[in-house]
Amino acid sequence: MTKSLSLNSKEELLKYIPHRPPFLFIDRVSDLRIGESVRALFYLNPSADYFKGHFPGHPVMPGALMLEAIAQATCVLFAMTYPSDKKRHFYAGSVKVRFLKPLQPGCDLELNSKAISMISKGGVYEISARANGEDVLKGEMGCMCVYEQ
Amino acid sequence: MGEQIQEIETELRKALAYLTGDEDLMSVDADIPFKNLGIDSMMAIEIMAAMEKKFKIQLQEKDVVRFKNIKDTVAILAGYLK
Repeated sequence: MTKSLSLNSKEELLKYIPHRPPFLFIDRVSDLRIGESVRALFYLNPSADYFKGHFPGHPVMPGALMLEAIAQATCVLFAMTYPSDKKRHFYAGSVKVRFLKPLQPGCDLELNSKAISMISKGGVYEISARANGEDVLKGEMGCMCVYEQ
Repeated sequence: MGEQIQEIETELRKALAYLTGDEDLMSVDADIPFKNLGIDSMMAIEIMAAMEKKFKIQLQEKDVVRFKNIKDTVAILAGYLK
């Protein structure tokens, strides 16, 4: 099995992905296997702005942000699998997903992405998320990487 | 061999029809360039994933670049199933 790598600080993470606060939805990577898979963690801070409006008095993490968090974790996997000096941009190209449970603030969200197929221009990934010991999302995501000329 | 080529082409057409939502791809001419069928580079990678899963093969990056139309793609896939 491929060696397990970890990125335990945001400073390390930010070397690999272009995302920045307030639109960064991973805190650390606990298990990354080059060319294969990634597991990342994100604490759902109750004071996050999106909980204030989604919804007042009944905070739930927006599903779109869960997908974004998994996409960012996948982005780390991709960037570490295909290192490049070129400036590049990452886009989600397709998503098939089932949201299994609503996600409330104050828990750690575990984000998993496993490559089904991956080349230097993008990939297709089996994705899942877990919180409080339960699956909260399962599906498949396709991502593209576009290199600047 | 002929039957295998036919099976590959049928599975490829199913994947294309599913990805595009266009059932006409089950019978469209095999020489028409993918770009004329609305199949972009993201879909090419998804086709790669679907075919790898279906036929339990591992394609190379250089293969995906050569996915130009149904006919060429079937030939590439057939090369892995000899």
